[in-house]
Amino acid sequence: MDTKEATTHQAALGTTPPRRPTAEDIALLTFAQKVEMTVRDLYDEAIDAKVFSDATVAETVITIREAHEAYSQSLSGLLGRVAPNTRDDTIFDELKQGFTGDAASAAAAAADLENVAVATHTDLLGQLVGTDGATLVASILVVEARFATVLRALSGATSLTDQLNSQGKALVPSTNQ
Amino acid sequence: MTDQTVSLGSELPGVSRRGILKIGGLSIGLAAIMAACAEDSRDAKPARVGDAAPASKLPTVAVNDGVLWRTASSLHYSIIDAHNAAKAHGKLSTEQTAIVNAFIAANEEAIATLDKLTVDAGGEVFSCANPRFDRVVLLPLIARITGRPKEGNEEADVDPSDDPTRDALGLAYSMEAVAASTHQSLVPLFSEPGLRADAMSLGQAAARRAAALALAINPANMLNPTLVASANVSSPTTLNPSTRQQHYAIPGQFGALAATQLMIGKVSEADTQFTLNIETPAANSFIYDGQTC
Repeated sequence: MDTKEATTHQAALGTTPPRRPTAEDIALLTFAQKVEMTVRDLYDEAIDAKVFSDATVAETVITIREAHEAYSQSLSGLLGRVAPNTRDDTIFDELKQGFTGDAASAAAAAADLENVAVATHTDLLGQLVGTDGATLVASILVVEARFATVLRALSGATSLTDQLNSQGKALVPSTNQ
Repeated sequence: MTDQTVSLGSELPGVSRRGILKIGGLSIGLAAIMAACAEDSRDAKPARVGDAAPASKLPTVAVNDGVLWRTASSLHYSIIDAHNAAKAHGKLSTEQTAIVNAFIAANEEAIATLDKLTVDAGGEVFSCANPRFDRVVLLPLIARITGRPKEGNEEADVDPSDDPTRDALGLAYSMEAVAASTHQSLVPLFSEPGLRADAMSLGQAAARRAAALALAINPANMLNPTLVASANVSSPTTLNPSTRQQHYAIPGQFGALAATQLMIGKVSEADTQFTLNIETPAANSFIYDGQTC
């Protein structure tokens, strides 16, 4: 369905949400961008420490890291000048340790992190009013779910149940942001 | 230039070409004035030819939240049918069958969630497959695995697949990918933000299933090679290993709403396969209020 059809549909419902982010959306998308930059920096920790020695695994991790950077840039584009373009140091410091061990444990930590990102974005999606922000966040989280499955496999999970494990608690913005 | 005289016979001797043009122009002008001044009436019941049944007026339908949920559940019913077809015709191994069975169970759980969301939105539960999706997408795809006699203007029968396992797994993968895209496509259509989160909870689960199946088909297919190339990886080892279509666990950087392309069926002498672009449901395949199985 294209934009015109979507607008017609929402007009039929009597509720036409705005396309651009509202003031409340800005705060939520700001947090989403911080999360993405934190995730990117955590992957950088593992890449810099050469945790992943296998070439194929290493390039998979690098590609996933690049994707998270693209997500933060897209969110920055939506936010404009108010985009923080910084990571959340508290979350980074909390999770950094997991990205410097051996390859299997780092992949497991990365899979857990992707699940947390999916849960966080799903939670934000339930609060975003503007459709531009909502569609962007949806397009991000649906791929992060795939990242989690791949990283779970790289951590050594062979059963379907383990690879589909989606356990992850959503992060919430701190009140002092 | 001289005005040559044109003879039109005995009735109008000596009428010139210029005279004919004058008469013609005057006639057209008068006709235009008469048409403009005529009464503007339209026949409410224009004449009909033959014994056709009276035209019935299409009902006025609205796309509301309930319709969106009903449509999503109908798609999951179609996906279950696709997975059952994969099992029936794909000559799957025990491990592959177990994966498809798990996907069927997951889609049944999704339907239960969607039914509740439908009722919460004031809609009526729709407990069947999506008829248009089945007709336009699913049945033609299954026919490429099983083969069928020629239909309509087709010149030849559709041959059965030369690798039913490859095609059945490709079908199952594409169905889960379409489920993820469908839920993503519904996000801007819902009236409430909370409903978008509900949709994507189901969408991300389908995306995980697609990724897991891609790895089960070929563990090397973690990433689409184009993604690796764009990530500036020097000397990438992730390459396309075959001329046949590959299914990747991570096909793109962002969730795409473009059609999911599936190549399926017997490979032709020209080394091509039947290819279908599978679109997410749209206005012509929504399950509107009042529509029953």
